[in-house]
Amino acid sequence: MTRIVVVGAGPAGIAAACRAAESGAMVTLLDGEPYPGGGIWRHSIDYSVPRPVRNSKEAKNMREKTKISNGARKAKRWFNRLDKVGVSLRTSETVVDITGRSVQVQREQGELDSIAFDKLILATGAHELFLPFPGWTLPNVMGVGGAQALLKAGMPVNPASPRGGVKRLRVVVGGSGPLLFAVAASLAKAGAKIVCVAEQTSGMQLAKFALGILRYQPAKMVQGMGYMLQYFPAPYWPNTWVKEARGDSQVREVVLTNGKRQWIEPADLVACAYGLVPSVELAALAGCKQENGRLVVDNLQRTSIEGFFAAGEITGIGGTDLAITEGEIAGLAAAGKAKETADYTDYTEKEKKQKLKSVKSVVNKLIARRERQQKFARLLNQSFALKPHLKQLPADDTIVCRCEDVTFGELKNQADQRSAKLYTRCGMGPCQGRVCSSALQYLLDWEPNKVRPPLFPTKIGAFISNTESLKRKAKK
Amino acid sequence: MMKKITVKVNDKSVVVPEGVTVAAAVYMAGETAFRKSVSGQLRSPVCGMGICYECRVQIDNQPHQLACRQLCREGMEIRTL
Repeated sequence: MTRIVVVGAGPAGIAAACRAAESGAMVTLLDGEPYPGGGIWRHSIDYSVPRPVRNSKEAKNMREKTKISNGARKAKRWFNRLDKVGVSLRTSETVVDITGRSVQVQREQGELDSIAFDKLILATGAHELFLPFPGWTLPNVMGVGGAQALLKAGMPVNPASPRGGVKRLRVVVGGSGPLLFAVAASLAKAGAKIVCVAEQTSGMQLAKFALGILRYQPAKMVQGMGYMLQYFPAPYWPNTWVKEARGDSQVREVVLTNGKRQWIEPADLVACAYGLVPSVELAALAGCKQENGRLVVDNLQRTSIEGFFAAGEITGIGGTDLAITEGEIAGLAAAGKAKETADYTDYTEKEKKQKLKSVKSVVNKLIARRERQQKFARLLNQSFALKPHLKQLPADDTIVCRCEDVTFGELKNQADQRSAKLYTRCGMGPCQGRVCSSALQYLLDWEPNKVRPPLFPTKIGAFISNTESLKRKAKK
Repeated sequence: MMKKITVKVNDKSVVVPEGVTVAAAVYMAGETAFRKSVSGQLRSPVCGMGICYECRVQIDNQPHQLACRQLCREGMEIRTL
């Protein structure tokens, strides 16, 4: 029986695990979070909260008691499917290293475990791009997805006021991407007062995006309008961005600008992020080929390493639907159910279309679906492309590396990421450059540093007692 | 009815629904600052998903625990800054 390890239990990972297990493989699905679902299908605390689960039977019991947030029927369908197929679901387990054909995972309490596989499916998703601006380190300035995640985990946005009654937090949502709508809506629904939504892209780009949505995914338009109604009457300003956050023990107000003039808005919480970047660290450590920060995959989601597949946002930001389709293809391919017949890389567009029509196999249908969804992904990436003037966001005394408190002034004259690390400690803190490195790749066009194990801070005792890691050291 | 549990945030008892993260409990206790940075600045969570490490708090005398990734357990003692 083929042993398949899927890393990341978001939409891509769940779809991959289902397809692989249904094809007869023995599947282990890993995720560092306490719950499966990833950033997008994370459970909402509003609807009764499940415990972390160790197996699919437990997951089933848990799910029966749980309603999925955001009316996500699709999520529910996939969770149900996952329950049925008998995947070994291991949550609160973070992959920290990969050696040959096994991954090392760290559990919540810090101990390490080694899991061997024949095939690996990387579905590690994405994280937000945070661009440093003056005051972004103040408490209550967070990401957009960050605010969503914290809200779903139980962060109150209408806490009890010290003077009695309830204090509705005033929230400024800023940055870029369709997530801004969704998060403003969730925050408003939870009781926050949305001050405004500041989107960096232009009105023209947004209009093009709206037309594109109507063409490719009209249902998404309805969803978007619904979001806007929820945070009504807060304004949505295109071509606007957060220039500065001000406050004392926490943020109190923000300075917004449209490039021509600037103005101040009150804020108790700022949710600001500039889209998503693929989380490729594990893939990079394994040695999979990348291009422009995303993983290179072929028609069957195979990476440059034999037996290693990738699906979802790590192959390029494209949203949930594309991630699911990629996951399904990767799952089938890893389980050996998608044969070379589906690989039409050398065919012309016309030949490929005919071929796809004539061969009615599951994988070919999925490949055709993926092509349609990639059009939407391209539209998304074009519409919310970052304006070059955002490179001027940080001032010289703005902290870029939040772990080591390194300012932009200290970094801008460094030659590259590596010398910055050696001279200023930038990227040497516990986040290992996940926040600052992505920002610096955009701000100064720096190449990312080489990834080294462990991928996340690991207890030294646990690392020493883990034999796989020792073997790796011995080999070198 | 959702089960409630009690945790302590900086010695203050907070009743939270079962299944919320430590980060949520810290916010419910009225705190906004989670840790002090290496140069002494106040910080709070940014990513909410376990990559930024700004949510680090002390849990049951263990320092540098990620508040966003751990769930509250009955009697847990959480300390910020």
